[in-house]
Amino acid sequence: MLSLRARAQLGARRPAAALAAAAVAALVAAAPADARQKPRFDPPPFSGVFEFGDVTPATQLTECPQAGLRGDDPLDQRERDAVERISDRSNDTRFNQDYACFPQNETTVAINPLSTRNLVGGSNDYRLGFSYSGFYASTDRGRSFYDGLLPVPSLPDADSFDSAGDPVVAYDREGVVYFSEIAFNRTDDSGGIFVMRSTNGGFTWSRACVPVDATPDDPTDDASRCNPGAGDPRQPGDGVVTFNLDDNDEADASIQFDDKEWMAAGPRPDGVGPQCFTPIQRNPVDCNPAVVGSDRVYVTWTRFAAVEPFESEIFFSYSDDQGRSWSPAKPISGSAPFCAFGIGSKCDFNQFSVPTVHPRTGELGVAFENFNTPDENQYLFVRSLDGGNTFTAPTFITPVFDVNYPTAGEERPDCTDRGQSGGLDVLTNTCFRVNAAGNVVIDKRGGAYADDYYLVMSDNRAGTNGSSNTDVFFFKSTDGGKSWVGPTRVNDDRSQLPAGTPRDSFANGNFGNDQFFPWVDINYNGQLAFGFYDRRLDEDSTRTEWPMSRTRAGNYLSWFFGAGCRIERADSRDCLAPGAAKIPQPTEPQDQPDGTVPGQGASYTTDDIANSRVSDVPSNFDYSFRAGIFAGDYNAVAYPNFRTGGSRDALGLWTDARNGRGSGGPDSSQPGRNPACEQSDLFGTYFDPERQSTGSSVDQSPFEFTPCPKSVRDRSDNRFNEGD
Amino acid sequence: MRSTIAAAALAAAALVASCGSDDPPEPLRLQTLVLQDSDLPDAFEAFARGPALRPEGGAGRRGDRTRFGRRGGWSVSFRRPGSAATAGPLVVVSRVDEFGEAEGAERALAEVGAELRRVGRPLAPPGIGAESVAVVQTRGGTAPARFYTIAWRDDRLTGSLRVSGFALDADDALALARTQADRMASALRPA
Repeated sequence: MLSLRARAQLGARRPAAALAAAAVAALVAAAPADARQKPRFDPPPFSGVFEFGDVTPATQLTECPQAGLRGDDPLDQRERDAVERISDRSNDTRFNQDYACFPQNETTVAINPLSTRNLVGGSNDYRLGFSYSGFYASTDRGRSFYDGLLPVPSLPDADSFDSAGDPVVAYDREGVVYFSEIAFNRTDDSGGIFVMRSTNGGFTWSRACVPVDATPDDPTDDASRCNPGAGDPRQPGDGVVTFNLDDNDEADASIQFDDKEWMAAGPRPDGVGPQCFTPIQRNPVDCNPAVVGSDRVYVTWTRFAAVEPFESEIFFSYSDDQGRSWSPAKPISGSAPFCAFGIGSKCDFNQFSVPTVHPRTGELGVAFENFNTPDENQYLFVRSLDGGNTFTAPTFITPVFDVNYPTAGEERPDCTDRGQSGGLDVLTNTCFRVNAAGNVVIDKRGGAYADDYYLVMSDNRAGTNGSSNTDVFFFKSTDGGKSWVGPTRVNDDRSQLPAGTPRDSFANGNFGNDQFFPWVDINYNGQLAFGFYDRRLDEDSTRTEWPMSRTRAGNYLSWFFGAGCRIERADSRDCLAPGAAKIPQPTEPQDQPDGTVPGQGASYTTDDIANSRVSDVPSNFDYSFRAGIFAGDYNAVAYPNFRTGGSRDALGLWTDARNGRGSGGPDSSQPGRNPACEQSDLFGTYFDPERQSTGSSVDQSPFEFTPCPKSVRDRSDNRFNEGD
Repeated sequence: MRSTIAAAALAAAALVASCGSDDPPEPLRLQTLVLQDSDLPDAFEAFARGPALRPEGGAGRRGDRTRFGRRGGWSVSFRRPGSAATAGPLVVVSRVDEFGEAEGAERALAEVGAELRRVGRPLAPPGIGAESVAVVQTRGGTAPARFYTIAWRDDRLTGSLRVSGFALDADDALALARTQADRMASALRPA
């Protein structure tokens, strides 16, 4: 059926204007671009870190809550509030070690295959006031961390980028760890995708080098260097997956924008040798044997075109020399009969690609969300058996019921007032942006398991525009992604949209609580570990600093939850709910029917999947970033990528707002406060996915509403005042 | 001869004057044209303040920030603690956009007005500036939140004010909108 949004768009004949209208309704602004400059339907969203590259306004605070930092707090002179006292009893581990009182969000984590004591996390890290990529390295299995910001890629004019984010970390089989990011300017359109490399467990990193063309008058000559001046020893092009140089020094979207990359590493398939490339033209050249990596490093991303029809295809590149050179970017999202609007059935409006590589065969699979649809969107999958030289056409995994999320703008003017961009999806009671994306992972075992894939995502099929009830769903393929079986609902709490209640409506009610931002990994024993945010434990809270956003009791605070299930038999229905069924490959674009759709009710859950609360305390994401409008776009769950681990416990890493507080109003005022009180940190812990334990005895009420510390006393008796 | 020279001088002066009138007007200090802290009761605190770099409504970076000759914008958001029982506004968002010419502002307001009327219940035009529009939206059940939006044009500026809360009426928004409109008028037509 056509959603409210789709109908509005079609009816208006200027679909994208309907999105813009939301915020236009709020404020007189320069109006959205005219119709010919807009896609014909819901465009994929850009990265959160691009939308929210900085944390202005930095208004006023000298100290802030620091729960989770172990050891002495040498500068802390505050009285601890109830949230901090409760949080300090938690066993969750804080990854970021800074005292900056600025946010970290959007997590990624990986474990060294050669030593499970070594792990590296990453995030959008705003400790400088704007986002760069933060890294968090441990050599004691996460008990303590060394952290910092990644080196910023150097540009041909010797300048540096303004911001970076969308972090991803991955190890190769030799224990080299890679960190990919987008980096961009905020005052013009220059940007790109970059990969940094660490050979010491994530403590020091290479610096990407956008090459300077030494022979600009000869486009066939790739002679280049790393800086306008001489003496830079780096290899030109090191770490540069893509670089797009602005053509007019204006931030006006005049050139393509590469966004939302993801990365994976794995062996080159049999018969595929290492291949390296020149830094500018990307012509194939022989690799330097001394730097050929054990694995091929793959990066996929979305390329938002700057010319009509403003496609956003999924692109792909790889490196065989530990990220020093990269293959030419090429589109892989292909064409399919179920992709609407695209010329030649191209699936050319996409976002949220994630690659996964089999650690023995090198088989590569990529899943992504596609927006070439009449209404509800769709998850697609492509596969390569030759190291990315060729890919299959996309196969259909599942419809994505994400067009009926509450949306900032006309549906949620409260969120627009708080600074959320019009058209972005939000949840009931809050205004931070959400999406339906998850990830795909290939079974790490051999034999009959070797081409099995597992996908997790979330959507609002059991909720409405007026009252969200997002759930986490699991899909399984045992034939290399040719066909998929699902949905199986991962979260095992109540979730049911009553019969006769259209999901595409503003109907209010409590149909169930939200689960979102899912991730999944699998270990060598076939143990699947899921992680996601979960609001089920907040049943009746009513307090909030943003009362106009609150329309329903409960469903406000978020915990990080885990879930797990073991695939014990190949080609089986292990971990599938009774209602999960083989999903037909459509022969034309799909418009999902009115009424109940698969995924709701008891027949779509299974006792095989255990659920457990992982975080010890909840997060109030109204306190995470500015006026509660950003908490990152994804979470992380990881097992060691190779056999050394063997552990049943998975590592979860999530964005956590336990140290955030409200900045609004006199109760939160503190003269001279700088920065604001809203912030989030990275917290993580190992968890047993097979454990079934969803309760919590933590007093939630302080987390619902706790203002910023009122004052920091300039104590004459502080411990640094020795009185002499 | 003298008269010829005088005529030529007059013509040259007229030409210079004419050229001068085609010059784009000096940019205004937009941050002074939105509501200021002193315009609101002490309970309010600004939680966002800065240039409106891109058009509202663009999810992502699409959106022509120079549409209709737009030269820039400024926005400030205020809030105060409260609940559904609090009388008066809880959140106030004040915004101004500057265009190169009045025609651009006129076209922008026309477009915005159409959208406002589509998503909200129109109220009587408040008579602010050269032209204006006002709507109210509600959301929620038994104690619905109300969102009053007033948008207007004054020469080459557009202003807007959104006031929201639970127990409030259009007058709450109107009074603040007039305060902002006075600031804009003073900048356009200094005494």
